[in-house]
Amino acid sequence: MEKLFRNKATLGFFLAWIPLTALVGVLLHIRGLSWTQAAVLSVAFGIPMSFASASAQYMCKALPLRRSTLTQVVPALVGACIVISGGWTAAFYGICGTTECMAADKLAEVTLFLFMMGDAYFAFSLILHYLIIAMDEARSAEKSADEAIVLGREAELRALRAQVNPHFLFNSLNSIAALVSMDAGRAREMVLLLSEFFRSTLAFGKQKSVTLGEELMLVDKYLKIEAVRFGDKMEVIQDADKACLSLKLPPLLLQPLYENAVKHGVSASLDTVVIKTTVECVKNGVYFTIQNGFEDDAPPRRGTHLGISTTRERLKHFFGEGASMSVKKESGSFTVTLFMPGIGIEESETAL
Amino acid sequence: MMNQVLNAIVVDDEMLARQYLQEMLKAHENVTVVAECKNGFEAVKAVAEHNPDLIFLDIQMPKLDGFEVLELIDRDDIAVVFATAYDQYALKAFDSHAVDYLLKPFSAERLAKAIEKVSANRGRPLPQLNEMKATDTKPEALTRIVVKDGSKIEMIPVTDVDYISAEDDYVDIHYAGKSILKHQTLAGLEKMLDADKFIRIHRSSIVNIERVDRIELLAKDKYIAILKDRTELRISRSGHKRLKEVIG
Repeated sequence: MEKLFRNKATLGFFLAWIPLTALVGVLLHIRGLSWTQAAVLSVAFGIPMSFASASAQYMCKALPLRRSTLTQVVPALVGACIVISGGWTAAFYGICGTTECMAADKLAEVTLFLFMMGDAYFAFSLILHYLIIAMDEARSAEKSADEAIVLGREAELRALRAQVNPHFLFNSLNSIAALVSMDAGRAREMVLLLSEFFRSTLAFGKQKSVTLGEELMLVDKYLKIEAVRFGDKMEVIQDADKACLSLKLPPLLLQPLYENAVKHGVSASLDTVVIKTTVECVKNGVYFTIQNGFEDDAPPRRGTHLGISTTRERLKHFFGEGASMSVKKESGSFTVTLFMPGIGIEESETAL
Repeated sequence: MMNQVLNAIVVDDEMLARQYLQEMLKAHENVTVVAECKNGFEAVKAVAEHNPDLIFLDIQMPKLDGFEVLELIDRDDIAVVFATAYDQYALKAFDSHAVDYLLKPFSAERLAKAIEKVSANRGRPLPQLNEMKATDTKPEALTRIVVKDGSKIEMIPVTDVDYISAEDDYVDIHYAGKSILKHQTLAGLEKMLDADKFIRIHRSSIVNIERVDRIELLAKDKYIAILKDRTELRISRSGHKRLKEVIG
């Protein structure tokens, strides 16, 4: 019974029986019973009927309309109405008949009336339960469709991120073409770095999540390749708290931020540009910050906003509303900060 | 013809890319590299200093991009070989012009073809800058105008521009209470500006519509635009039509 009430819809069902019971009482009074008789009788009728009606949901669930034929459903439901209502009225007739609570013809009339009422109420509750079930199904279908869209979008974005950036690829190949005759050893090193980077990127594209440590290792490979291209024009500083490197995040969430830093910072500047990474563990999550220098008068380059908004979108999908991202552009410095809720200091320390 | 030596400058911000090109050029006795530049500023200076016949030009560079360098050196008899890693610029080859494009990394054969092409068309005028830029797969409106002012290079954000007037072979760019002359045609500049923000109101002027305060009718079919700084500009009939289309 506790279980029945735990469901709000079921509780509503019991409450709905209060006015219906009152209606039965009034109708009984109209049929000539005293108010006291009508009240006692209607409550004695209403309480068991309300339980019966509430439990009609199990019958509806056992006989889902979509998967049952009419020849199965109709006799079963009609039978149930008759058994439930008939059972109660038979008991009433028996008890009232032996105690002679009212005249025999009156008793017959009231019994028949209550039998009809019971049938009607039970049938009504069956219809109501079927309606509730249909509504629930529609709602959950809608919800799972929404979830499918979100998951599909995330997979799409991830695949997009795992795609080779053609600028990066061709510039790297050009560096290799130059190195082959000048410094074969470095050329080989560059080929190996590129292979490792693309292999990891492809593997990341298939995963739903990676650890922060894994993501930063991929970033490290990427930056090593760009360092061959840009030489001392690029400086990398990393200050990562190792305690929270086991945080899970969507793969390739951070790497595109480094591509932006190289594209708009390093490659568009005359002087050395510093790319600084900070990972800070706090109690309820991790702060990740990437900062890079840039020149205000650099020639305009295309597309940053899409990259930034994709990162924001994926961050929210993965971590929910607890995550946040801020982008700060001051003169000469571009900073992106992500807060990713999850492992805090305590948990991570015990995990390590 | 092939024996005639071409003086060339190499412009690329990446050291390895410059070294690769230099190495490849060793096989070409008719090309002498007179200068190597790491960025657009150096390139503009080197062109003034060495007066080269040929320029190998990277497109994406710090400070000035390859197209801006071409604008600033203001010579249309120079041969240009663009070199870029990715054909975001659709890199249309201009037949019978001294222009070619190389996609990095390029082969020795492809480089030889480019040198052959530009030397065969040597001395012929370059295509208009806007034509070359129009080959871009995703053309974007100009965000700044670069002008050489003596030895200084001015970079004027287009949002600072009030209006531009034609003065013979030059355009006079009026911005921030100043004006500066640039060797360019008004029609050429018009094509590179955002057509929703800059309107050709007359044969001799383009106006930034955000600077227009009001339009007054002087006589029948004679309109003038009054800018916020009280400058008065004549509006032609077709100019009035264009202006009305944008302002409504």
